[in-house]
Amino acid sequence: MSIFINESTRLIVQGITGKQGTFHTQEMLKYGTMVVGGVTPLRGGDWVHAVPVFDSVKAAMHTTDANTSVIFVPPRFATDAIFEAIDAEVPLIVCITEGIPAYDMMRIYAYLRHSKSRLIGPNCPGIITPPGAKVGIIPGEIVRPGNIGIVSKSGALTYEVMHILFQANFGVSTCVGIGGDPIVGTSMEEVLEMFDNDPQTEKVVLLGEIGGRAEIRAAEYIRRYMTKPVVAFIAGKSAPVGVRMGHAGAIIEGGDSTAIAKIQAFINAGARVAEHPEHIASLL
Amino acid sequence: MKLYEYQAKILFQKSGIATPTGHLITDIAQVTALAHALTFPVMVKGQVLAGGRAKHEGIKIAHTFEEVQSMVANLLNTSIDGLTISSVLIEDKIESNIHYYVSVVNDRTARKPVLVASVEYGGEIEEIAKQYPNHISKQYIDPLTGLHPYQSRQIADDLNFPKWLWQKFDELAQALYRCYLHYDATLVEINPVAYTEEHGFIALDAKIKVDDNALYRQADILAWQQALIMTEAENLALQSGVSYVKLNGQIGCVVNGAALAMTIMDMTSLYGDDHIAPACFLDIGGGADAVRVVNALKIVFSDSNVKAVICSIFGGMTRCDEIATGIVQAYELLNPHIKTIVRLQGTNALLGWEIIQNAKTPNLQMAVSLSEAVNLAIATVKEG
Repeated sequence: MSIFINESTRLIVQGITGKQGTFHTQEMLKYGTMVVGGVTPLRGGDWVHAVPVFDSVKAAMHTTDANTSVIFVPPRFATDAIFEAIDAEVPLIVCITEGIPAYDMMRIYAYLRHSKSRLIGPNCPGIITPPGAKVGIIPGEIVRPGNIGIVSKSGALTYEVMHILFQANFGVSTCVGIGGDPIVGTSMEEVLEMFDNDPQTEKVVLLGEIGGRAEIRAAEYIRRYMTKPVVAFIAGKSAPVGVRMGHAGAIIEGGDSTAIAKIQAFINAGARVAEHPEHIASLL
Repeated sequence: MKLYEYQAKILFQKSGIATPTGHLITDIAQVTALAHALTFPVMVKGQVLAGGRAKHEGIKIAHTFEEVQSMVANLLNTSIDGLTISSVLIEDKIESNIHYYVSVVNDRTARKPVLVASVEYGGEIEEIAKQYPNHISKQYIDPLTGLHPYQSRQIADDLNFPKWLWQKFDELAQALYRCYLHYDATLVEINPVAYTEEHGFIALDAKIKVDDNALYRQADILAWQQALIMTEAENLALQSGVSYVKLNGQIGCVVNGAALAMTIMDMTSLYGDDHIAPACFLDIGGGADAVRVVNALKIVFSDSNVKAVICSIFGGMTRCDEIATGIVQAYELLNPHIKTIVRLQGTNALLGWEIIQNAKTPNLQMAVSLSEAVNLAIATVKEG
């Protein structure tokens, strides 16, 4: 078992004819993901890496019977792309795009609650379930199947940790990047709950950072409900107050958005907290 | 992006929110023209993106023209919290018995905008919320349906506003929400708003933060950003598409990925003693080419506090050979007497290693793990 994606995932790629979309479609196919279609308005009828391109998500869904969509379109078209996927009733939508305005995300989030879709991201690296399912841009060669679930706000830090776990002979059930924006479709505690209910996952690694209260809520979830052990790492202990550190969401704006407050919350919740990424393997 | 008070007030006026008559001064010579244009007393307000201006003598009341002249002369080119005051707003002083706090702000946890009002004003709203939790009222706004008038009335009722003011308060709240929507703000705040018979509600102060992700559709505000006074390093960072925050330590960190960059900063503090700290946050982003790497290193080397640099890349979209080429070019071009610890993992890492080894640049040293890179950089700083 795994969460979100597995060998029966049938994927369409929104923005498949763009540079990123084309490149990562090839990478996902190489990894073994069933990419059944792509969408670029006005490019219907084309082919990319032997994958058929459609003019709309609805047309792609109708023909391919897909159950997941990944979005690679540029930020100013991404809001439209997400609404289109929701209206086409795609069960799982993964948005890689960075730079969607926060107000657009608030509208999307409100709309999602009345829909049949789940959104992961935006501004995320996607999801990988080794050995053969990846939706997004997480490198596949640094992960093997196993019993560790990973949930993270970031991209490169996640790859670094996956690599460290790989070298320490750990395997992964599913790795989920939820995204580094202030407002994302799926929260950390929702992913924790799914890992807790997933028979394959035995332990969870959580990677967080400064900004917002997502980690505080995740810690609260762990304290109250989580049955499986969690190892957490929080980046940004040395970050100054009130300055955005790269990610749109990574800014200290109040008492419990600091790294120290989040670390304390995880300690209080009974999770183990790593001092640095290499420390995570020994805590597992 | 934070706006200056005078800029925020321009957006308020465009949204139908009254503001006091004002004059913006960027040069002391411009004050002379106001000799007969002011009705005293007036407010003299230094324009700076720092909180607590009044506490730091950034806001004053002038009763004569001579006072205005000396205050403006004092304010221009002084600084608050390290930020230079480059302009001064001179405004009519509004007399009123009614003052409130009101704002619309993004609530990350609720994932909605929230309308907040209070009968306490002047201070930071977080402090008000702590000290007088009953003197504050808020209503969450559904972004799909907007702000309903009953929500404004609920706040007016909660805070015991006089009933003749309820309708006026809704008009103010609706205008504020329009302003928030129209300019893609993440915060619009009036602290305080006053009420007078002459003006109705009138914004004495103004604070707006605009969503950086939405600047592409806010051409006027983008123009303001380009006029912002930036250091050379900040300017180069903006132009080359790297995210850079200057800090006060000795170890420059050039990394791909925001969280990984913070992690390496944290590790320099963790492994170093009290005197060792990161010199910057620098995220070169995904898919960086050699030119971006050269610019990133140029920014880091331009900081005279920097004694060692860690360049750590985990290549996914980013190709390590491209990074290595950029590093070698930067050393050929700038010839810095600073050691850089290079760590390359992921896509084309071996090619990258070869490029660095073949360059035989004495100030480049390779590291395998994160902790090795950080410890080598700390040792370099200690050797001085």
